[in-house]
Amino acid sequence: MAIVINGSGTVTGLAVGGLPDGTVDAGTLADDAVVEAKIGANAVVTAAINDDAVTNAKVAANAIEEAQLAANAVVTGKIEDGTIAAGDLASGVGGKLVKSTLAYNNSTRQVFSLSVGLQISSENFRTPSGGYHYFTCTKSSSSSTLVLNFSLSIGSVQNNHVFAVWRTSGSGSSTTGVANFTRLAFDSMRNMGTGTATSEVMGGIVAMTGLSTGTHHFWFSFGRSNDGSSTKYTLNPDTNEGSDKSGSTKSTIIINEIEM
Amino acid sequence: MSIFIDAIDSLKPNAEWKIVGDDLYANLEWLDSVKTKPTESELTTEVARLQAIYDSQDYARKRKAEYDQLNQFEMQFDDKENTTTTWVDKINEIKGRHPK
Repeated sequence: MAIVINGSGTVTGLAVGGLPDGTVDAGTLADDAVVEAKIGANAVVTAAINDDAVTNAKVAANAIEEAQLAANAVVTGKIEDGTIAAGDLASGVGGKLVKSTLAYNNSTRQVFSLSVGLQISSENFRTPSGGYHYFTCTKSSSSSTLVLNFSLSIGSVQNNHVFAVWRTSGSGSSTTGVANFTRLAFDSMRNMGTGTATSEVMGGIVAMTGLSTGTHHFWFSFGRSNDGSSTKYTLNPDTNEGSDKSGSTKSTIIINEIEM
Repeated sequence: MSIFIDAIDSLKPNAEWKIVGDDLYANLEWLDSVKTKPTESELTTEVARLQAIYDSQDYARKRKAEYDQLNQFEMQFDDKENTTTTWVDKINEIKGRHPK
C-alpha cells in the first residue's frame, strides 16, 4: 500500500512494523495513551515499578499470602496488642502459658495490727480493710492448671500464729465460713515472733488442677487465734524496721494459667 | 517495730490499724471499730515519752553489748583459780566507759 500524506495532517498506508525501531519515543506518546489492553502479560517487571509506587490502597484484600512474607519479616512491633489469642499459641514441651496475672507487685511498706485472726479456725475469716490479702484470677479454660507463685517480704512479725494461703469457693472478699476455704500453703510456726520480732520471706508455688473456668479467689493470711490479742507484721519492711536493715523490700504474687 | 508503733500499742493495746508508708500520723489508718484512734497530739506525746525512756537506757544497751562479748563464767572461774580480779576489773572498765 502506498504511503499517503494527507493534507489534513494524517498519514495512511503504514504497515504494522512499518516504523523504524526507536522512532516513537516517550515524548511522542499522548498523555494516558497506554491503556491496560495495550500492556502485554508479564510486561511490567519489578524494576519498572517505581519505589513506593504500590500503595496500601492498590493491594487487594487478602492479596498478601504467607508465601509473600520474607523470613523474619514480621517483627514484634508490627503485632497489635491483644492480637495473639491463646488458641494461636502452639502446644510445646512444657505446656503453654494461657494467662499470667500479676496480682501484687509492690514495695510500699505496710504495717498491720490485727486483733482478730486472719487465721481460719472456728471463727469466720476476718477481712482486713484495704490490705493486700485478697486477690482474684479469672480462669479461661477448664483443662488448664493455675499456678500460684508468691514471695512476700515480711518483717517485725509479733505474736503471730500462722501464715497460710487459701482459695475460696465463695463470693469473693465477703466470703466467710471455714467450709468455703481450701488451704493451699501453710506455715505453722506457732508463736512466730512471740517475744522477739522476726523477719521472714514467705514464698512458694502451688499448682491447682481441676478448677472450673471463671473467677477464683485467693487469700494470704497472717494471724492468731481470736483471743483478744493483736498480731503485728510489716509487709515490705524498709529502713523504718531498723537502720541495720537498710533499703526497701518487695513482694510479688503471680497467678499463671498454664496448659500443661 | 519502731517507737512510733510502740506508742500506738501503748495507748491502744491490741487495736486494729494499718500504716501505709513511713511511721507518720497521716499514714495511720484506723481499722478498729471499738477502740478510738489516738489523736496526733496524744501520739506525739507518747512517742516522746517512750523515746526518752529508750534514750535513758542507752548506757545499759552499750554495756550489755560488751558484756555479751565476755565469757564471764570462765573469767570468774579463772579468777578464783588464779586469785586474780580480771572479771571485776573488766566489768568496772565497761561501766566506766558507759556511765549512767
